[in-house]
Amino acid sequence: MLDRESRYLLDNVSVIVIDDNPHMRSLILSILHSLGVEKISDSGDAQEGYQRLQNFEADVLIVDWDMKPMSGLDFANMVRKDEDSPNPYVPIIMLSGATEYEHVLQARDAGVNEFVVKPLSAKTLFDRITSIIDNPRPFVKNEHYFGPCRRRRDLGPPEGIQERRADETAKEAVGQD
Amino acid sequence: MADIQFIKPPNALRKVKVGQGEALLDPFLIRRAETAVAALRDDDGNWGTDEFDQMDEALARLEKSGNDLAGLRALHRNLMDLRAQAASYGYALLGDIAGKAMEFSHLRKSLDENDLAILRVFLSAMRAIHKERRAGDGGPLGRDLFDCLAALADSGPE
Repeated sequence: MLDRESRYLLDNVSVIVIDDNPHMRSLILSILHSLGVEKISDSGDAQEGYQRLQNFEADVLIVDWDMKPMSGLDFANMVRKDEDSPNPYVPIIMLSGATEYEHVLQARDAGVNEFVVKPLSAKTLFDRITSIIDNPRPFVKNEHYFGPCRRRRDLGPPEGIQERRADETAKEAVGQD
Repeated sequence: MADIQFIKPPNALRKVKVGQGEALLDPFLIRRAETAVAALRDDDGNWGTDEFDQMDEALARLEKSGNDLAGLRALHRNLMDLRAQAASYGYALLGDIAGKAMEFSHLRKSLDENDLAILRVFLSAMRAIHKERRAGDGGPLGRDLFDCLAALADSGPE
């Protein structure tokens, strides 16, 4: 039963959707509208989507991985690391048709907050958006990485930190960072 | 040891949640979204057709070149898009067939004449399912079709 004392007002969320497949883009927009999201900007091109960030104050970015000429991974890296990035902290949800674990790790290392393997459903998208709302993560910055703390989820331990996992404080740290 | 900074980013999404406790999923919103997706699926009869055509082109290119890496990548990408679209639109059978074709092509570094002929059969099956608007898993007939295609794919040498 829904707790009426606590709820999400998704009409307050602004989202940029970037997917070069017009049908998938329509699908995502349709789901977002139905979930109550009113402020949506969309693009079929990652470079254009990046420009869109200059003028559209996005709370969340939803980006497809497999795009041309700029991939979603390059886009995420640009948002996080580009000196001129309008919003390096904006949460990024990455969509991908690929199921390889390596893809998840690459997305994580690019600073992606949430990784969704297609097919996409309304519930999956809702869950990912509310996960970002409910579990804001600190950002980590070092020589090699800038993005949300990568240890929130159990995506497998980064190399060399196995012995630290028993330490509760290590769960808040970023092993590789 | 490299310097590490922990930064608490501005939380623009704080405004989105009312109340402190766990906010559960509102089933009405999900139902509304699922209905919208179903309507979009029925209205957007062109979904998948670009990918079918591109797959046709990629196969034609591979039939000429044999070991064309760019052609193989294009084929793989088309199949991945098809699988994602089909499954998202509730065409589970079509999505499964695209996934099987993807697996088949992915396991091979090059595709010979026989492999390409098998992929042509997959393409024909997917086009037929799409044309007939056979959403879902296709029932017993759909499972038989998938099993036949899978057997065909698994029969050849890798």
